Amino acid sequence: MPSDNSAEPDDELKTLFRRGFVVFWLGLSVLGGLNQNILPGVYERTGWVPALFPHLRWSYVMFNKMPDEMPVVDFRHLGAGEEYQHLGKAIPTPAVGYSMSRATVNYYYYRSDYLRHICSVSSEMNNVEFRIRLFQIIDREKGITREQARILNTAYQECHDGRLSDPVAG
Amino acid sequence: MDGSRTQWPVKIFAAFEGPCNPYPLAIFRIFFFSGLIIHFFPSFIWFDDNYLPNIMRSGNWNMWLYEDFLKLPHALVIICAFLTCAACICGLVGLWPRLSAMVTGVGLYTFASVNSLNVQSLALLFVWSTLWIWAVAGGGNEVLSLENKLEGLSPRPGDRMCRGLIGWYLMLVLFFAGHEKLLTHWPQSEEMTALFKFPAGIVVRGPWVHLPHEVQRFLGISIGLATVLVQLGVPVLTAFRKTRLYALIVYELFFIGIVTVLNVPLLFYLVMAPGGLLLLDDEHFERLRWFRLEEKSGQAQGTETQPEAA
Repeated sequence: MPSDNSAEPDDELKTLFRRGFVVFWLGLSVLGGLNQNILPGVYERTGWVPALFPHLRWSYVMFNKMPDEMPVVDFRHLGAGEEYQHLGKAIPTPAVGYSMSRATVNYYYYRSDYLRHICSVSSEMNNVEFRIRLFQIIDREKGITREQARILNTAYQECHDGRLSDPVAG
Repeated sequence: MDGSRTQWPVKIFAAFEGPCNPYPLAIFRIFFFSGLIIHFFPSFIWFDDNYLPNIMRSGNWNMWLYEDFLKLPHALVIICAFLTCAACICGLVGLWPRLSAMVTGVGLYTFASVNSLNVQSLALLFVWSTLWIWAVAGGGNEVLSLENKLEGLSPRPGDRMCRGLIGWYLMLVLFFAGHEKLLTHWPQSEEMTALFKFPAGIVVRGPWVHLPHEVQRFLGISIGLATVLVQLGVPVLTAFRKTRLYALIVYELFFIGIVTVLNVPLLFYLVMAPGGLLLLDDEHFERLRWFRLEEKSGQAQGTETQPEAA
Protein backbone atom coordinates (compact mmCIF):
# COMPACT_ATOMS: atom_id res chain seq x y z
CA MET A 1 0.00 0.00 0.00
CA PRO A 2 2.03 2.94 -1.20
CA SER A 3 1.32 6.15 0.65
CA ASP A 4 0.47 9.20 -1.43
CA ASN A 5 -0.96 12.63 -0.72
CA SER A 6 -4.55 11.47 -1.17
CA ALA A 7 -4.25 8.66 1.35
CA GLU A 8 -6.64 8.69 4.28
CA PRO A 9 -5.04 9.49 7.69
CA ASP A 10 -6.04 6.01 8.89
CA ASP A 11 -4.22 4.41 5.98
CA GLU A 12 -1.14 6.50 6.66
CA LEU A 13 -1.16 5.46 10.30
CA LYS A 14 -1.57 1.84 9.31
CA THR A 15 1.31 2.10 6.84
CA LEU A 16 3.45 3.78 9.48
CA PHE A 17 2.69 1.01 11.97
CA ARG A 18 3.44 -1.71 9.45
CA ARG A 19 6.72 -0.16 8.43
CA GLY A 20 7.63 0.40 12.06
CA PHE A 21 7.02 -3.26 12.81
CA VAL A 22 9.13 -4.40 9.84
CA VAL A 23 12.06 -2.21 10.94
CA PHE A 24 11.67 -3.23 14.58
CA TRP A 25 11.45 -6.95 13.80
CA LEU A 26 14.35 -7.16 11.38
CA GLY A 27 16.50 -4.85 13.55
CA LEU A 28 15.85 -6.98 16.62
CA SER A 29 16.63 -10.11 14.63
CA VAL A 30 20.01 -8.71 13.57
CA LEU A 31 20.81 -7.86 17.20
CA GLY A 32 19.75 -11.39 18.15
CA GLY A 33 22.10 -12.79 15.53
CA LEU A 34 25.01 -10.86 16.99
CA ASN A 35 24.17 -11.82 20.55
CA GLN A 36 26.27 -14.99 20.67
CA ASN A 37 29.52 -13.52 19.49
CA ILE A 38 29.90 -9.84 18.72
CA LEU A 39 27.59 -8.62 21.48
CA PRO A 40 27.68 -11.57 23.89
CA GLY A 41 25.20 -11.57 26.75
CA VAL A 42 23.21 -8.52 25.66
CA TYR A 43 20.08 -10.60 25.25
CA GLU A 44 20.32 -12.26 28.66
CA ARG A 45 20.88 -8.94 30.45
CA THR A 46 17.56 -7.54 29.25
CA GLY A 47 15.07 -9.40 31.42
CA TRP A 48 11.92 -8.71 29.41
CA VAL A 49 13.35 -9.58 25.99
CA PRO A 50 13.75 -13.36 26.54
CA ALA A 51 10.15 -13.64 27.71
CA LEU A 52 8.74 -11.70 24.79
CA PHE A 53 11.07 -12.78 22.00
CA PRO A 54 12.15 -16.38 22.68
CA HIS A 55 13.28 -16.83 19.09
CA LEU A 56 16.44 -14.83 19.87
CA ARG A 57 17.47 -17.07 22.72
CA TRP A 58 20.31 -19.08 21.13
CA SER A 59 21.12 -16.82 18.23
CA TYR A 60 21.01 -18.92 15.04
CA VAL A 61 23.61 -21.56 15.78
CA MET A 62 23.27 -24.90 13.97
CA PHE A 63 25.84 -27.72 14.13
CA ASN A 64 28.77 -25.55 15.15
CA LYS A 65 30.95 -28.07 16.93
CA MET A 66 30.52 -31.81 17.30
CA PRO A 67 31.09 -33.45 20.69
CA ASP A 68 34.31 -35.47 20.95
CA GLU A 69 32.61 -38.32 22.79
CA MET A 70 29.06 -39.63 22.56
CA PRO A 71 27.33 -42.21 24.75
CA VAL A 72 25.04 -44.60 22.87
CA VAL A 73 22.46 -46.64 24.76
CA ASP A 74 20.77 -49.83 23.67
CA PHE A 75 18.66 -52.32 25.60
CA ARG A 76 17.39 -55.89 25.70
CA HIS A 77 14.81 -57.76 27.74
CA LEU A 78 16.55 -60.03 30.22
CA GLY A 79 16.09 -63.76 29.80
CA ALA A 80 14.46 -63.47 26.39
CA GLY A 81 17.62 -64.13 24.39
CA GLU A 82 17.18 -60.84 22.52
CA GLU A 83 19.71 -58.85 20.57
CA TYR A 84 20.37 -55.33 21.82
CA GLN A 85 18.13 -52.69 20.26
CA HIS A 86 18.76 -48.96 20.21
CA LEU A 87 17.13 -46.93 22.98
CA GLY A 88 15.23 -45.03 20.28
CA LYS A 89 12.90 -48.01 20.01
CA ALA A 90 11.98 -47.72 23.68
CA ILE A 91 11.18 -44.05 24.10
CA PRO A 92 7.61 -43.67 25.35
CA THR A 93 6.73 -40.53 23.36
CA PRO A 94 7.29 -41.17 19.63
CA ALA A 95 9.73 -38.94 17.77
CA VAL A 96 8.56 -39.38 14.19
CA GLY A 97 11.49 -40.23 11.92
CA TYR A 98 14.32 -39.40 14.33
CA SER A 99 13.78 -41.50 17.46
CA MET A 100 17.43 -42.62 17.66
CA SER A 101 18.65 -39.03 17.60
CA ARG A 102 16.07 -37.96 20.18
CA ALA A 103 16.98 -40.80 22.56
CA THR A 104 20.73 -40.23 22.13
CA VAL A 105 20.56 -36.48 22.63
CA ASN A 106 18.30 -36.83 25.66
CA TYR A 107 20.65 -39.40 27.19
CA TYR A 108 23.65 -37.17 26.38
CA TYR A 109 22.14 -34.34 28.44
CA TYR A 110 20.30 -36.17 31.22
CA ARG A 111 22.17 -39.50 31.57
CA SER A 112 20.71 -41.84 34.23
CA ASP A 113 17.80 -39.50 34.94
CA TYR A 114 16.55 -40.13 31.40
CA LEU A 115 16.85 -43.90 31.72
CA ARG A 116 15.05 -43.67 35.08
CA HIS A 117 12.27 -41.71 33.35
CA ILE A 118 11.89 -44.31 30.59
CA CYS A 119 12.02 -47.08 33.15
CA SER A 120 9.28 -45.49 35.27
CA VAL A 121 6.79 -44.46 32.54
CA SER A 122 7.03 -47.40 30.14
CA SER A 123 5.41 -50.66 31.23
CA GLU A 124 7.24 -52.48 28.42
CA MET A 125 10.59 -51.68 29.99
CA ASN A 126 10.36 -54.18 32.82
CA ASN A 127 13.27 -56.61 33.33
CA VAL A 128 15.41 -54.72 30.86
CA GLU A 129 19.14 -54.30 30.67
CA PHE A 130 20.56 -51.05 29.30
CA ARG A 131 24.01 -51.14 27.71
CA ILE A 132 25.76 -47.76 27.65
CA ARG A 133 28.74 -47.55 25.32
CA LEU A 134 30.85 -44.40 25.29
CA PHE A 135 32.18 -43.77 21.78
CA GLN A 136 35.13 -41.55 20.99
CA ILE A 137 34.14 -39.70 17.83
CA ILE A 138 37.21 -37.51 17.43
CA ASP A 139 40.60 -37.68 19.06
CA ARG A 140 41.47 -33.97 18.95
CA GLU A 141 45.20 -34.71 19.24
CA LYS A 142 45.23 -37.04 16.25
CA GLY A 143 42.54 -35.25 14.28
CA ILE A 144 40.04 -37.17 12.19
CA THR A 145 41.37 -40.62 11.48
CA ARG A 146 40.36 -43.42 9.12
CA GLU A 147 38.51 -45.32 11.81
CA GLN A 148 34.90 -44.94 12.78
CA ALA A 149 34.15 -44.07 16.39
CA ARG A 150 35.72 -46.49 18.89
CA ILE A 151 34.29 -47.66 22.19
CA LEU A 152 36.06 -46.17 25.22
CA ASN A 153 34.06 -48.00 27.88
CA THR A 154 30.81 -49.86 28.47
CA ALA A 155 28.45 -49.87 31.45
CA TYR A 156 25.18 -51.66 32.22
CA GLN A 157 22.07 -50.68 34.17
CA GLU A 158 18.93 -52.70 34.77
CA CYS A 159 15.28 -51.74 35.07
CA HIS A 160 12.97 -53.85 37.25
CA ASP A 161 9.43 -52.81 38.25
CA GLY A 162 10.01 -49.18 37.38
CA ARG A 163 13.28 -48.91 39.32
CA LEU A 164 16.70 -48.36 37.75
CA SER A 165 19.83 -49.97 39.20
CA ASP A 166 23.18 -48.22 39.55
CA PRO A 167 25.57 -48.53 36.60
CA VAL A 168 27.98 -51.47 36.55
CA ALA A 169 31.12 -51.25 34.44
CA GLY A 170 31.38 -53.91 31.75
CA MET B 1 12.44 16.27 -5.20
CA ASP B 2 9.07 15.67 -3.48
CA GLY B 3 8.40 12.75 -5.80
CA SER B 4 11.64 11.01 -4.94
CA ARG B 5 11.06 11.74 -1.25
CA THR B 6 7.75 9.89 -1.30
CA GLN B 7 9.10 7.09 -3.50
CA TRP B 8 12.09 5.84 -1.50
CA PRO B 9 10.12 4.39 1.41
CA VAL B 10 7.87 2.65 -1.09
CA LYS B 11 10.91 1.06 -2.73
CA ILE B 12 12.50 0.06 0.56
CA PHE B 13 9.33 -1.50 1.93
CA ALA B 14 8.04 -2.99 -1.33
CA ALA B 15 8.96 -6.50 -0.17
CA PHE B 16 6.51 -6.07 2.71
CA GLU B 17 3.65 -4.04 1.16
CA GLY B 18 1.01 -4.42 -1.48
CA PRO B 19 -0.99 -7.30 -2.92
CA CYS B 20 0.67 -10.52 -4.04
CA ASN B 21 -0.02 -14.05 -5.18
CA PRO B 22 -1.54 -15.81 -2.15
CA TYR B 23 -0.35 -19.35 -2.96
CA PRO B 24 3.21 -19.20 -1.53
CA LEU B 25 2.01 -18.24 1.95
CA ALA B 26 -0.90 -20.70 1.83
CA ILE B 27 1.42 -23.58 0.83
CA PHE B 28 3.93 -22.51 3.48
CA ARG B 29 1.06 -22.45 6.01
CA ILE B 30 0.14 -26.06 5.24
CA PHE B 31 3.74 -27.32 5.55
CA PHE B 32 4.43 -25.22 8.64
CA PHE B 33 1.41 -26.33 10.66
CA SER B 34 1.84 -29.95 9.47
CA GLY B 35 5.36 -29.79 10.89
CA LEU B 36 4.07 -28.49 14.22
CA ILE B 37 1.42 -31.21 14.39
CA ILE B 38 3.89 -34.03 13.62
CA HIS B 39 6.40 -32.64 16.11
CA PHE B 40 4.20 -31.66 19.05
CA PHE B 41 1.10 -33.85 18.93
CA PRO B 42 2.81 -37.03 20.22
CA SER B 43 3.65 -35.16 23.42
CA PHE B 44 -0.03 -34.22 23.79
CA ILE B 45 -1.27 -37.73 22.96
CA TRP B 46 1.12 -39.24 25.55
CA PHE B 47 0.09 -36.43 27.88
CA ASP B 48 0.79 -38.17 31.20
CA ASP B 49 4.37 -38.96 30.18
CA ASN B 50 5.06 -35.31 29.41
CA TYR B 51 2.91 -32.88 31.36
CA LEU B 52 2.42 -34.23 34.86
CA PRO B 53 4.27 -32.54 37.74
CA ASN B 54 5.82 -35.76 39.07
CA ILE B 55 7.57 -36.94 35.89
CA MET B 56 11.03 -35.98 34.65
CA ARG B 57 10.89 -32.64 32.85
CA SER B 58 13.37 -30.44 31.07
CA GLY B 59 13.11 -26.64 31.13
CA ASN B 60 14.77 -24.93 28.21
CA TRP B 61 12.49 -21.98 27.63
CA ASN B 62 10.53 -19.95 30.19
CA MET B 63 11.47 -20.98 33.73
CA TRP B 64 8.46 -19.30 35.31
CA LEU B 65 6.14 -21.44 33.19
CA TYR B 66 8.32 -24.48 33.90
CA GLU B 67 7.93 -24.05 37.63
CA ASP B 68 4.39 -22.74 37.96
CA PHE B 69 2.21 -23.76 35.02
CA LEU B 70 1.51 -27.26 36.30
CA LYS B 71 0.29 -25.80 39.60
CA LEU B 72 -2.90 -24.90 37.73
CA PRO B 73 -5.80 -27.37 38.05
CA HIS B 74 -5.14 -30.41 35.87
CA ALA B 75 -8.40 -29.92 33.95
CA LEU B 76 -7.30 -26.41 33.00
CA VAL B 77 -3.95 -27.69 31.74
CA ILE B 78 -5.78 -30.25 29.59
CA ILE B 79 -8.10 -27.53 28.23
CA CYS B 80 -5.04 -25.44 27.30
CA ALA B 81 -3.58 -28.46 25.47
CA PHE B 82 -6.85 -28.98 23.58
CA LEU B 83 -6.99 -25.30 22.60
CA THR B 84 -3.40 -25.45 21.38
CA CYS B 85 -4.07 -28.57 19.28
CA ALA B 86 -7.27 -27.01 17.89
CA ALA B 87 -5.36 -23.85 16.94
CA CYS B 88 -2.72 -25.92 15.12
CA ILE B 89 -5.40 -27.72 13.13
CA CYS B 90 -7.17 -24.42 12.35
CA GLY B 91 -3.85 -23.05 11.08
CA LEU B 92 -3.36 -26.11 8.90
CA VAL B 93 -6.77 -25.82 7.24
CA GLY B 94 -6.64 -22.04 7.03
CA LEU B 95 -9.27 -21.06 9.56
CA TRP B 96 -8.61 -17.65 11.19
CA PRO B 97 -4.82 -17.83 10.65
CA ARG B 98 -3.99 -14.79 12.76
CA LEU B 99 -5.88 -16.08 15.79
CA SER B 100 -4.59 -19.62 15.15
CA ALA B 101 -1.00 -18.39 15.08
CA MET B 102 -1.53 -16.43 18.29
CA VAL B 103 -3.03 -19.34 20.23
CA THR B 104 -0.60 -21.86 18.71
CA GLY B 105 2.36 -19.65 19.61
CA VAL B 106 1.31 -19.05 23.21
CA GLY B 107 0.21 -22.67 23.68
CA LEU B 108 3.23 -24.42 22.20
CA TYR B 109 5.66 -22.04 23.90
CA THR B 110 3.93 -22.72 27.22
CA PHE B 111 4.06 -26.51 26.84
CA ALA B 112 7.62 -26.46 25.49
CA SER B 113 8.54 -24.42 28.58
CA VAL B 114 6.78 -26.89 30.88
CA ASN B 115 8.66 -29.83 29.38
CA SER B 116 10.91 -29.75 26.35
CA LEU B 117 12.33 -33.24 26.85
CA ASN B 118 10.58 -34.66 23.79
CA VAL B 119 10.11 -31.53 21.70
CA GLN B 120 13.34 -29.56 21.98
CA SER B 121 14.82 -28.55 18.63
CA LEU B 122 16.68 -25.53 17.30
CA ALA B 123 13.95 -25.25 14.65
CA LEU B 124 11.70 -23.99 17.46
CA LEU B 125 13.48 -20.65 17.30
CA PHE B 126 12.15 -20.15 13.79
CA VAL B 127 8.74 -21.48 14.86
CA TRP B 128 8.35 -18.88 17.64
CA SER B 129 9.41 -16.11 15.30
CA THR B 130 7.06 -17.16 12.49
CA LEU B 131 4.07 -17.46 14.80
CA TRP B 132 4.86 -14.03 16.27
CA ILE B 133 4.96 -12.48 12.79
CA TRP B 134 1.78 -14.30 11.72
CA ALA B 135 -0.09 -13.13 14.82
CA VAL B 136 0.73 -9.52 13.94
CA ALA B 137 0.51 -9.59 10.15
CA GLY B 138 -2.21 -12.22 9.56
CA GLY B 139 -3.08 -13.60 6.13
CA GLY B 140 -2.42 -16.93 4.48
CA ASN B 141 -6.06 -18.01 4.14
CA GLU B 142 -6.87 -16.33 0.83
CA VAL B 143 -6.59 -19.66 -1.02
CA LEU B 144 -6.43 -23.34 -0.03
CA SER B 145 -8.44 -22.62 3.10
CA LEU B 146 -11.49 -24.06 4.79
CA GLU B 147 -12.58 -20.53 5.65
CA ASN B 148 -13.16 -19.81 1.97
CA LYS B 149 -15.31 -22.90 1.65
CA LEU B 150 -17.35 -22.18 4.78
CA GLU B 151 -17.95 -18.52 4.00
CA GLY B 152 -18.28 -18.96 0.25
CA LEU B 153 -15.35 -16.63 -0.44
CA SER B 154 -13.48 -16.78 -3.72
CA PRO B 155 -9.68 -16.84 -3.89
CA ARG B 156 -8.22 -13.34 -3.54
CA PRO B 157 -4.78 -11.70 -3.56
CA GLY B 158 -2.73 -11.90 -0.41
CA ASP B 159 -0.91 -9.19 1.50
CA ARG B 160 2.84 -9.13 1.21
CA MET B 161 3.70 -8.25 4.81
CA CYS B 162 3.46 -11.68 6.45
CA ARG B 163 5.05 -13.40 3.47
CA GLY B 164 7.90 -10.88 3.21
CA LEU B 165 8.68 -10.76 6.92
CA ILE B 166 8.77 -14.53 7.41
CA GLY B 167 10.84 -14.95 4.24
CA TRP B 168 13.39 -12.28 5.06
CA TYR B 169 13.62 -13.33 8.69
CA LEU B 170 14.45 -16.81 7.40
CA MET B 171 17.23 -15.35 5.28
CA LEU B 172 18.62 -13.56 8.35
CA VAL B 173 18.60 -16.88 10.23
CA LEU B 174 20.48 -18.51 7.38
CA PHE B 175 23.01 -15.71 7.09
CA PHE B 176 23.80 -15.61 10.79
CA ALA B 177 24.09 -19.41 10.92
CA GLY B 178 26.80 -19.08 8.24
CA HIS B 179 28.41 -16.13 10.02
CA GLU B 180 28.55 -18.20 13.21
CA LYS B 181 30.33 -21.01 11.39
CA LEU B 182 32.93 -18.64 9.98
CA LEU B 183 33.70 -17.39 13.48
CA THR B 184 34.31 -20.93 14.67
CA HIS B 185 36.64 -21.65 11.70
CA TRP B 186 34.15 -24.16 10.41
CA PRO B 187 35.43 -25.05 6.96
CA GLN B 188 38.93 -25.86 8.27
CA SER B 189 37.78 -27.71 11.37
CA GLU B 190 36.20 -30.56 9.35
CA GLU B 191 33.17 -30.79 11.65
CA MET B 192 31.15 -32.34 8.85
CA THR B 193 33.70 -35.13 8.38
CA ALA B 194 33.40 -35.79 12.11
CA LEU B 195 29.66 -36.27 11.61
CA PHE B 196 30.31 -39.31 9.43
CA LYS B 197 32.29 -40.94 12.25
CA PHE B 198 29.26 -41.18 14.55
CA PRO B 199 27.68 -44.63 14.98
CA ALA B 200 25.06 -45.25 12.28
CA GLY B 201 21.66 -43.63 12.65
CA ILE B 202 22.53 -41.41 15.61
CA VAL B 203 23.20 -38.17 13.79
CA VAL B 204 23.91 -39.26 10.21
CA ARG B 205 21.69 -41.72 8.35
CA GLY B 206 23.04 -45.26 8.16
CA PRO B 207 24.44 -45.55 4.62
CA TRP B 208 26.71 -42.51 4.96
CA VAL B 209 28.53 -43.99 7.94
CA HIS B 210 29.54 -47.07 5.95
CA LEU B 211 31.25 -45.14 3.14
CA PRO B 212 35.06 -45.44 2.78
CA HIS B 213 37.09 -42.92 4.78
CA GLU B 214 38.34 -41.09 1.66
CA VAL B 215 34.77 -40.58 0.42
CA GLN B 216 33.66 -39.43 3.86
CA ARG B 217 36.54 -36.96 3.99
CA PHE B 218 35.79 -35.61 0.51
CA LEU B 219 32.07 -35.32 1.30
CA GLY B 220 32.75 -33.80 4.72
CA ILE B 221 35.01 -31.07 3.37
CA SER B 222 32.70 -30.39 0.39
CA ILE B 223 29.55 -30.25 2.50
CA GLY B 224 31.26 -28.09 5.11
CA LEU B 225 32.43 -25.56 2.53
CA ALA B 226 29.15 -25.65 0.62
CA THR B 227 27.18 -25.08 3.82
CA VAL B 228 29.09 -21.90 4.63
CA LEU B 229 28.81 -20.66 1.04
CA VAL B 230 25.08 -21.40 0.86
CA GLN B 231 24.32 -19.87 4.23
CA LEU B 232 26.22 -16.68 3.51
CA GLY B 233 25.50 -16.48 -0.23
CA VAL B 234 21.83 -17.35 -0.62
CA PRO B 235 20.48 -14.47 1.50
CA VAL B 236 22.59 -11.97 -0.48
CA LEU B 237 21.72 -13.42 -3.90
CA THR B 238 18.03 -13.61 -2.99
CA ALA B 239 18.04 -9.83 -2.57
CA PHE B 240 18.65 -9.37 -6.31
CA ARG B 241 15.96 -10.19 -8.81
CA LYS B 242 18.32 -11.61 -11.43
CA THR B 243 19.80 -14.21 -9.09
CA ARG B 244 16.80 -14.80 -6.80
CA LEU B 245 15.36 -17.84 -8.53
CA TYR B 246 18.74 -19.63 -8.73
CA ALA B 247 19.55 -18.77 -5.12
CA LEU B 248 16.25 -20.22 -3.97
CA ILE B 249 16.76 -23.41 -6.00
CA VAL B 250 20.13 -23.81 -4.23
CA TYR B 251 18.35 -23.14 -0.93
CA GLU B 252 15.85 -25.95 -1.57
CA LEU B 253 18.62 -28.37 -2.61
CA PHE B 254 20.51 -27.45 0.55
CA PHE B 255 17.60 -28.54 2.76
CA ILE B 256 17.01 -31.70 0.74
CA GLY B 257 20.72 -32.45 1.28
CA ILE B 258 20.40 -31.89 5.03
CA VAL B 259 17.49 -34.31 5.49
CA THR B 260 19.13 -36.86 3.21
CA VAL B 261 22.31 -36.92 5.29
CA LEU B 262 21.19 -36.04 8.80
CA ASN B 263 18.70 -37.65 11.14
CA VAL B 264 16.89 -34.41 12.06
CA PRO B 265 13.26 -33.85 13.12
CA LEU B 266 10.79 -33.52 10.25
CA LEU B 267 9.81 -30.20 11.79
CA PHE B 268 13.15 -28.78 10.70
CA TYR B 269 12.48 -29.51 7.03
CA LEU B 270 8.78 -28.68 7.05
CA VAL B 271 9.22 -25.21 8.53
CA MET B 272 12.48 -24.15 6.88
CA ALA B 273 12.39 -25.52 3.33
CA PRO B 274 8.97 -24.17 2.23
CA GLY B 275 10.08 -20.75 3.49
CA GLY B 276 12.01 -20.35 0.24
CA LEU B 277 8.71 -20.17 -1.66
CA LEU B 278 7.82 -16.99 0.21
CA LEU B 279 10.61 -15.07 -1.52
CA LEU B 280 9.97 -16.23 -5.07
CA ASP B 281 8.69 -13.56 -7.42
CA ASP B 282 5.03 -13.98 -8.30
CA GLU B 283 5.92 -14.30 -11.97
CA HIS B 284 8.13 -17.33 -11.24
CA PHE B 285 5.39 -18.91 -9.25
CA GLU B 286 2.69 -18.24 -11.79
CA ARG B 287 4.50 -20.07 -14.56
CA LEU B 288 2.80 -23.06 -13.00
CA ARG B 289 -0.86 -22.88 -14.06
CA TRP B 290 -2.21 -24.12 -10.71
CA PHE B 291 -1.01 -21.01 -8.95
CA ARG B 292 -2.55 -18.37 -11.22
CA LEU B 293 -5.20 -16.55 -9.31
CA GLU B 294 -7.10 -14.98 -12.23
CA GLU B 295 -7.94 -18.34 -13.80
CA LYS B 296 -9.57 -19.54 -10.63
CA SER B 297 -11.43 -16.47 -9.44
CA GLY B 298 -11.64 -14.15 -12.42
CA GLN B 299 -10.39 -11.39 -10.14
CA ALA B 300 -7.60 -9.01 -10.92
CA GLN B 301 -4.58 -9.54 -8.78
CA GLY B 302 -1.39 -7.70 -7.97
CA THR B 303 1.47 -9.40 -9.75
CA GLU B 304 4.15 -7.01 -8.72
CA THR B 305 7.53 -8.59 -8.47
CA GLN B 306 9.65 -8.18 -5.44
CA PRO B 307 12.03 -5.28 -5.24
CA GLU B 308 15.63 -5.40 -6.32
CA ALA B 309 16.77 -5.44 -2.73
CA ALA B 310 14.73 -5.57 0.43
